[in-house]
Amino acid sequence: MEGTPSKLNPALIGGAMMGVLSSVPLIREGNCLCCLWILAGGVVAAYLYWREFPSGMSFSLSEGATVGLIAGLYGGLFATLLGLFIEIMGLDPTRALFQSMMEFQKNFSTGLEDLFKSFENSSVMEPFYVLGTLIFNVLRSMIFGTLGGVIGGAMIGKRQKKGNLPTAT
Amino acid sequence: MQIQTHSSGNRAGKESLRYKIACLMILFFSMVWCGLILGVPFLSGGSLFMQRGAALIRLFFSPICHQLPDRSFHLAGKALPVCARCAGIYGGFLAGVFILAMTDRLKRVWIPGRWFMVSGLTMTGLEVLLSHLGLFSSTLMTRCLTGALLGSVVSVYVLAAVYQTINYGRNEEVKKWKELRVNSIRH
Repeated sequence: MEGTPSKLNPALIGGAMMGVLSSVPLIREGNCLCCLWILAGGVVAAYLYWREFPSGMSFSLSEGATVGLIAGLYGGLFATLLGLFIEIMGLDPTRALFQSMMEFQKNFSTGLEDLFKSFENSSVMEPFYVLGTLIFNVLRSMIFGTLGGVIGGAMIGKRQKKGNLPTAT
Repeated sequence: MQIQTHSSGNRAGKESLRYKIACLMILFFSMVWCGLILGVPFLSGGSLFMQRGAALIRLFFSPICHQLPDRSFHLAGKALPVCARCAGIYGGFLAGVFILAMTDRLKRVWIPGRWFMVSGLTMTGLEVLLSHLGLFSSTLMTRCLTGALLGSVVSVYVLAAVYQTINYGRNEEVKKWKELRVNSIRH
């Protein structure tokens, strides 16, 4: 939007926050609370963008929504890349849990043999898996990031930073 | 409370039409979203293809909801793919968008202040906090109702954001930005 501050830095920071919190094992379960980390990333992006506004200018909901949408795009990309990295390095405790469960089910019939077989044979680097994860993460983050930006814009409201609108001298 | 109005005219008419189309698109998307949630229990009892579809939809919602069966509504003997609170949020959002999109408010759009969002968040937050502290026993219905309240509140702001985006060029703030930019180029 013409004349407004750059949305790049606030969106990158908000997106990085979304991506990291949505990828780190155990912490990422917070997203089960209606995408809490993604909403929070959108709110943070809106707040940081508001801070770049000159004094005397008010912050609109559409500004928050736009920066939240861009933050969601970055967040989805970060989450996918970081998530793949964590899985490749074997840092995901859920994978270790599944492996111990697979050992258990070899001794006892649990009715979940098909599920474990598919997990054992899956590869995180399969193109279909990577592409599907990327599309899902980006879509989810953009939708909920926009909502987070709207919520952030609503919370900022008509608050204006102190000072007068700068004019040319 | 801020009410923005715009006068009649060809440009205003086009912007009103764009706003209406945007509202209808959001309404359609919300209906599809809620339809997927409500359809899972019925798909689960169908053919193998439908059961796989139900499993995929459940998998789609798994990263955004805990899906605990004892905290979810049941239809046709099967749990919904989202919990009661999430179902309330999405249902409240759909209801809010439906009411706002269907009423003729194109000339006057309500853009609420911060208090409206805070009230919606507070109700849900209080319900979660009090139930965790054991001071209040939540039921599926209380979770759903507080979620519906929050969802409907958010819908008002979302449509207001859409309106502001479409009417960006007529916004007084944008005129100030343009004046700033012109002045900074001149000097």
